[in-house]
Amino acid sequence: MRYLRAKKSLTLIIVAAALSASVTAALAFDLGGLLKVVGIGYIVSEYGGEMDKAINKALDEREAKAMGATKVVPIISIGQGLFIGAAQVVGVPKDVKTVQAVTQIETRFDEVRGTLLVPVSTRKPQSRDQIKSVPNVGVSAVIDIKASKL
Amino acid sequence: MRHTTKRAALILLLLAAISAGLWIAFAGDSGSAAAAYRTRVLDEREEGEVIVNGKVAIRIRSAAGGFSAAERAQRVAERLDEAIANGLKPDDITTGTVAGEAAVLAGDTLLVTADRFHAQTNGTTPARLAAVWANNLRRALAQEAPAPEAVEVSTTTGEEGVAAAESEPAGNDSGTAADTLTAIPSAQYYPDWSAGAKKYVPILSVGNNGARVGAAQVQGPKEQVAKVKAAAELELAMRGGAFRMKVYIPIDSISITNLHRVQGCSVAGFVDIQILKL
Repeated sequence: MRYLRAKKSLTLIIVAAALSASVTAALAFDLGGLLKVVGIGYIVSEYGGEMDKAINKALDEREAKAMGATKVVPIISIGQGLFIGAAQVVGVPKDVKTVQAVTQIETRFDEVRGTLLVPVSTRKPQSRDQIKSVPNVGVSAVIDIKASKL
Repeated sequence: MRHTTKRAALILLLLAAISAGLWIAFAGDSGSAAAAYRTRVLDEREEGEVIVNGKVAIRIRSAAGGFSAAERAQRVAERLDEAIANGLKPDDITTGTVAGEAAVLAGDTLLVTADRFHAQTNGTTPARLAAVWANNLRRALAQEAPAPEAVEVSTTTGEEGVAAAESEPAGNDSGTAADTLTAIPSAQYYPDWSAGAKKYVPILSVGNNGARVGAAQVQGPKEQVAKVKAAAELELAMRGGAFRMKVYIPIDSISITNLHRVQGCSVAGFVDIQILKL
């Protein structure tokens, strides 16, 4: 009888520990995601203009500037729905104004792995099928952000 | 009799003096042609304009060789002014080739090169753009200088001055001089950015002797995409490496010595080929 009670207690402890661990893991994931969303979104809004000017200046010095409007927006990974970097978009001014983000879509054909970058007018693309590219706009630069160095 | 001869001589001298004075005055008028430059900012982009006799003859839209667009326009205006002071006539303006690039010349003196960037911006070839600029200069030089209006421009000496100049929106430099001097809506300033065609090209690293670092899918209008041969990858860093930027430039050759951008094209994606599969 005592043996059965001890076994039951042990099972309860294990289940509780497992539940606690999974909750912690889920919380950690959410916090990580939240950090990325808030962090990169903030960084782009704070430093996007500076990045945009730096890129345009570098291109201007090399006589390779694009004849169009530009701006820097976050890159969203469709799979995870997270902000994973930033991109400079270029194109017709009125269309560039509507771009809110660039979505990154991974594709794979055997040994060939492809990454598509699509300028979109929302920061919350729900699914891959709903992605609609903003016309007359393309990607000019991809920006990797190391927030720890800021 | 002696008095009559003396009087005649005096009259002749007087006439000669009046004639010389008139000639000097006339010569001064013919030399009133003047070149100036001014800076304009369009959509946060600085441009330099070369103005001759109050007309915009050349529009410099980009920096080069360490000079801003305005500084380049200033140099062109200075060269023109010097040539005018040395008796430049409209017919002395010609086109030629300098260091492999189409150029506008004042006699043997280089005034300005018509590079590919400006040619593409105007939807023409460098040689044709040089011809248009030369024609604009000839026409502007041939016409009389207008009465000054209260428009502030920077003179070739860099001083703030007042000269006659038309205020125009950005336009296309192609076509006839008359076209150039006509107001053209600024919307035409931008190339077509529609993604009508796509193709894959190699990515050449600008910082690594043109080493191939993968492939990119470029997009743009069909006729522009056809010109793209590669995508140059330019790496930049900001704020101590916190931001590492890879800038992709669709170019018209497999060479990174001169980045000749194909306007209207951009990168749509990248391709990685897995060589070793574990």
